[in-house]
Amino acid sequence: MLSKTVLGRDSQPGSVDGYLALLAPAVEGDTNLLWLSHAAIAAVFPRHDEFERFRRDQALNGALPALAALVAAAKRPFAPNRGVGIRIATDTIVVDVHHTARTGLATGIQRVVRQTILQWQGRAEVELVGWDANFTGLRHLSAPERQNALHGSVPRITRPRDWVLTIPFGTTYILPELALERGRTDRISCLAEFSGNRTTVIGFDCVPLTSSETVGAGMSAAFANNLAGLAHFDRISTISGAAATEYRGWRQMLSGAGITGPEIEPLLLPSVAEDVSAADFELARTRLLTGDDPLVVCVGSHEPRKNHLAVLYAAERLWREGVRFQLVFIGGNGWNGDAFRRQLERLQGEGRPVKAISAVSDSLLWSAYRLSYVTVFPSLNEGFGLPVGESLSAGTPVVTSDFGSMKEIASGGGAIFVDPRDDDDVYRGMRAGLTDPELHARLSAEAAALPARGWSEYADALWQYFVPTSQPV
Amino acid sequence: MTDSRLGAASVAPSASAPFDAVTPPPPSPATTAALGQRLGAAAAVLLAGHPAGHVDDLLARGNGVLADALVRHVQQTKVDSELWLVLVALTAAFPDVEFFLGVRRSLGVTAPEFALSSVFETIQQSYRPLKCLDSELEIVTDRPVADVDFCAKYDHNTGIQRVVRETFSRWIGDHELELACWSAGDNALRELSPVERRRVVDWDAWKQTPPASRPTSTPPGFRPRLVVPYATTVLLPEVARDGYWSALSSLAQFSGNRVGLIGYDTIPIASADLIAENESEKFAKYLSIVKNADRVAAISASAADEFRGFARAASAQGIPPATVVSVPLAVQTPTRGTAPARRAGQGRPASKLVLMVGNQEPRKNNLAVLFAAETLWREGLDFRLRMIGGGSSEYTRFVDREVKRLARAGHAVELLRGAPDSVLVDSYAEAHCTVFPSTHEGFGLPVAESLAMGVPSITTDYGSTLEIAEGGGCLTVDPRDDRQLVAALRSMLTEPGVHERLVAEAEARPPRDWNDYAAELWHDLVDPLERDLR
Repeated sequence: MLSKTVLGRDSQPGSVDGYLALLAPAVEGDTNLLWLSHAAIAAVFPRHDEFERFRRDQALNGALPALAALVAAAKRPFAPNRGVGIRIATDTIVVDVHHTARTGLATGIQRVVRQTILQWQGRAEVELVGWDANFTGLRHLSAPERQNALHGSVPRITRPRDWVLTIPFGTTYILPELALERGRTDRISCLAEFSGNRTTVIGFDCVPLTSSETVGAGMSAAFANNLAGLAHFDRISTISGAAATEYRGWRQMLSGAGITGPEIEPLLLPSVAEDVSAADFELARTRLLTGDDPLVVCVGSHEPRKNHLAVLYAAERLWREGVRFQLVFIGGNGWNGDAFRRQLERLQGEGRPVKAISAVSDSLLWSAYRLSYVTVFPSLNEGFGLPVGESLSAGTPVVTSDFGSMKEIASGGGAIFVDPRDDDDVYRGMRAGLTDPELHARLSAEAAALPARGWSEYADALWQYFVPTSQPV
Repeated sequence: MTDSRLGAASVAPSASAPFDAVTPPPPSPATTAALGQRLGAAAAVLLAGHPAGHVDDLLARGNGVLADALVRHVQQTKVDSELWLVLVALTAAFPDVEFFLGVRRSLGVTAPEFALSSVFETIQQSYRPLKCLDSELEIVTDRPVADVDFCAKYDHNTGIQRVVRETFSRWIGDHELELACWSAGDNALRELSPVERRRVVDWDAWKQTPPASRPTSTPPGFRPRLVVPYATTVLLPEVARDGYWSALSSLAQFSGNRVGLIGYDTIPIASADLIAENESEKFAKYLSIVKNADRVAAISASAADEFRGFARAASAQGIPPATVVSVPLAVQTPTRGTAPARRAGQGRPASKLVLMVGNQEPRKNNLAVLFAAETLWREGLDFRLRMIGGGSSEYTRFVDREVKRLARAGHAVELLRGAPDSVLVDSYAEAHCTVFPSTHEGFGLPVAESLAMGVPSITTDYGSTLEIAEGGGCLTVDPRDDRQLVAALRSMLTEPGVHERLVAEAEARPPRDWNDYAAELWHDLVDPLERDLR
């Protein structure tokens, strides 16, 4: 197979030595073909140091002995992928959805991945791939994995026992998710630097780098490795202009390492409201509302970056002033949420109408956006402030931060902007949203008038950016 | 509220405990007096608008009365820097971000008569051990305060410590400055002991003192005052240890001080794949201080660009970026100390010596140098390769293996770990050229050193090493292209004209010493911050 790709034909010399004799002169001194040869012979994607060693070996001793050494290593009884076959993918676009294919999670990132590849299903050249258990290389997804990648319906299934290494060559590799696994980022990095494939990735945010104080232990290091893996990529499509600012800042940091870094362009995610059945809406109404006071909803997991303590502070001030409203937090337990829970319990103990709901269905979430009088989302840093877009798409005004992606998403109207680091400004914003009916009416009208932009437009634009020679479907 | 309740606030049991609260022991008179001193000092700054004697009158009625007055004052003014100062005085600790915001919020929703007790409640909930409650403090408003924690406490002296010691030993004679390190429990900055001070500003003499006759860092009975910068400049010339980042980030955000720091490099992020993971993790936390700093003086134009990149990335959070300037480091040639000089010609082999100085780690590219050397040996060139420097990573083993293999094949290669400076000096004296094709440096010290010794160098064609090379005496190469390295080394070894020209260029370079660096750093880092303040 290797010889077919390298030489354009398989002359079937009949023995391994015969193959090597044919291949050696063809690959000598050609970095891309050397990468391919290494991946194909070892049935393992090389890491940077392994590849450098191999390339130096062929420069010093010639390609034939270097290739023969690879063959000898691959034949050792305990060679990692001794029994694994290979396939060289030259005419498919390889889309790496390893994590999405296996996870039971359905957070922002998985949602973007799933909506995007669903839209790409009509493109025959798309090949969904993941990694083997040891992160030695790419492989075609099994049918259930593919199902989970697209719909999230069959998480954590057993990996197929027999698998074939998929080696992209002369094509495009797309990474639409966040890759944090060390072996995976190492081999992706080497692929990006040496394989000659066009390498592209969706950039979500650089929070673990730029807001390290708001992430759990180990996350910043894992993310720094992810970034190192992207340094040799060709293109990053970021999910907002704010995320592009972050990635471009990181790219500037690469200058000291003599790396130009990828081209970076923003492509704002869409915000598409989902329908809710009348029955589900009534269920949600009983679950969310207590009495007739207007509802304020704050969506997001409880972690310092989301600034929920500032929301509680602002709410408490408003209640003390006699402003009537009920507050519901919707979101899971993130990192370091103790202080939030303490304040929440205190306010509940004092009889304030506030509660926190985790593990919600889509229908409850979308009902909440529609039942809300106003939503509040004063986050300190977001690659894409999803609850801002969702609230506006449901026609509900939002109180949100006056910078970054949150400002970008709400730039068309419907929002009250506040400085999220100034608790009193958050209070002023919520107060205006709750107590100024004229303002509220104007913002609601603005939100309703926002142009709808869907996943198909996003996925098409992303495809054009990643695979620019392609024709629109 | 009585004094005894105040002094014991950090261990006061919850009022809602379902069992009989354990009565904490009353604070010692020293603790009570220290609290009074701290509150008095804060009041002298914050309540200065009141008639003379007002603060004394309050204090005469007890610490609690003065604390109450201070907390009500900041509750009313809502000025972050004033709240920061009151919290420092009360807790004898620099507040971390979460605690500061917790107090600020509780004051915003509490009636004035309960303000002080709400502060105590938040202190209690922060679970931070307060280890300096019996310390007095000095509020420094009229001169810069520098955190030189590591240099004050440890005898280690490489890269960063050398920069700090050379700089502060000069500044201390020319400028009004307060040096500080972190107190017990890492709670706050404190003044240095005489020994700690010597370690920072009189290093050369200190290191001559035999370890056995060195006095201990903090003599018995040493009761340092806390150093509290207020409305002044705070300098962070070291890369702050990971335990300090939250308090320093909070200081940069809320204390009203202007924060300036020396930026060395962002290698743990920009070259994370070549660095141990815990280094990247720690550095990312350090960046939370950088994000809130006002001014960064980077050690090269290249490092400045990296810090500007970070500031730009952080601007997506609506944080005004720090001003970043570049002040290139000085170049100090190593000295041989007291070791006897090797006589020229003594046992000196005929072949040329190629020298590589630096740790063995992926970033330094040692394997590429070994590859280039092997290529040229196989071509028949006659030269020796010597590597000097430590190593501890997995990469070191690869280097060792290659060196052994080459030595067995009869090539003149040696690897010296833990060699004293005298060996380094002798090696420079003997070297035909040096090689330093690092993939990433904040400041390529071995290149600068080599050139200052009159030895030409082969180094990287970008970043800080290129900045140094532009002054003459170098061949530059793409460190990721082995062929360029081979060609440059071949040219250096086989073309006498090239070598002679580079030696002449190296010798013609103007020296740059620590006096130059210290003066420029003050001018470009400290002066502008001070101007903004006064």
